[in-house]
Amino acid sequence: MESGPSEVILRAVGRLIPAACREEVLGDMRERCGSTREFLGEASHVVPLVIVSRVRRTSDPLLLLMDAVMAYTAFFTATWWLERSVLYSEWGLIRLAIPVAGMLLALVLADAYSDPKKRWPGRPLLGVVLGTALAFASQLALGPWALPRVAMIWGAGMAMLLVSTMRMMFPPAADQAQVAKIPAFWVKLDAVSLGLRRPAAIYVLLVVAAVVGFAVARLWR
Amino acid sequence: MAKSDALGQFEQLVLTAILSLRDNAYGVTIHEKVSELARPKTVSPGAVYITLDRLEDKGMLSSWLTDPTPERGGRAKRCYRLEALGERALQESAETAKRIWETVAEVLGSGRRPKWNPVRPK
Repeated sequence: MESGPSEVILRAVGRLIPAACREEVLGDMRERCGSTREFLGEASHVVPLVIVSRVRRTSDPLLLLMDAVMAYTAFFTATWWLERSVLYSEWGLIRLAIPVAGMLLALVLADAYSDPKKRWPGRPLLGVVLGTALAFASQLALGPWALPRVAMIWGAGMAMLLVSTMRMMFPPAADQAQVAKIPAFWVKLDAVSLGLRRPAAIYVLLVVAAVVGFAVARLWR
Repeated sequence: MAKSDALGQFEQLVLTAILSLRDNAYGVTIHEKVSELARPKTVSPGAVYITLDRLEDKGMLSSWLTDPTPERGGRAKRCYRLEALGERALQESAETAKRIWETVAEVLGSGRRPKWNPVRPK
């Protein structure tokens, strides 16, 4: 007679659940399900919703927009200096956005999966490193749409530098010290209500947007 | 009531479940109670988790982890409690529902099942 889902399956599914809510969600699913089959069926519709909920709690649209602008600027500048013909080609500017999208996806997931109980100095950089890896991985699958290798290497290097600086200046809610275990979402609201991060972030965005706009205008003159 | 304090129907169900479960409100029991309240609709446990997170972010709930138990494979439960803001929001929702019911009962006649009785044009 089966007394519950197997421990191997429990651990495998547990790895998919964000660390901040893994304990209680896995425990609830273990209590509700009598067999491995039932457990897997429930996990298939519970885990995606739990991930979405965690992403909503940990991501800040303004900070993500800043990260996106920084990464795009880095790839644009590298391509401008090293392989300018890409920018003039059809869909050239869209091709630049593909590694940026990969990088943002990795940043969002790294924030969602970070464990609020474990703090170490390199944690803000983990998302950036994973993001760079995903940006490179996206290029492998693109074929003719991939950026030239030299532009990709220099662009990714600059993007890493800019985005990690940005994330150290404006740490995401998941990386801030949490007092008395309050949800990351409250930390996010608190930081915004202080009126410190949002205006500063908007100024940075405006400056970068002006630089990119100037470069694009020069490009098509 | 501020717009962010307004409760959706599912949020009302979750808050009602937590209110009625008192000290035993955690994922499994809340899902069971919400399923009972929402009958005949089926309720996904994932939807309950998302709603619990959202209500906690709004400050209507607070939560804490209990000690691990053997029936959960040595894992802890996250228990929930209604905060003053949640109680107030639920009370206002209940008052609105009561007013709706009183109006319906007044028009259709109290104590009997609402019947489809359109006025035919002459």
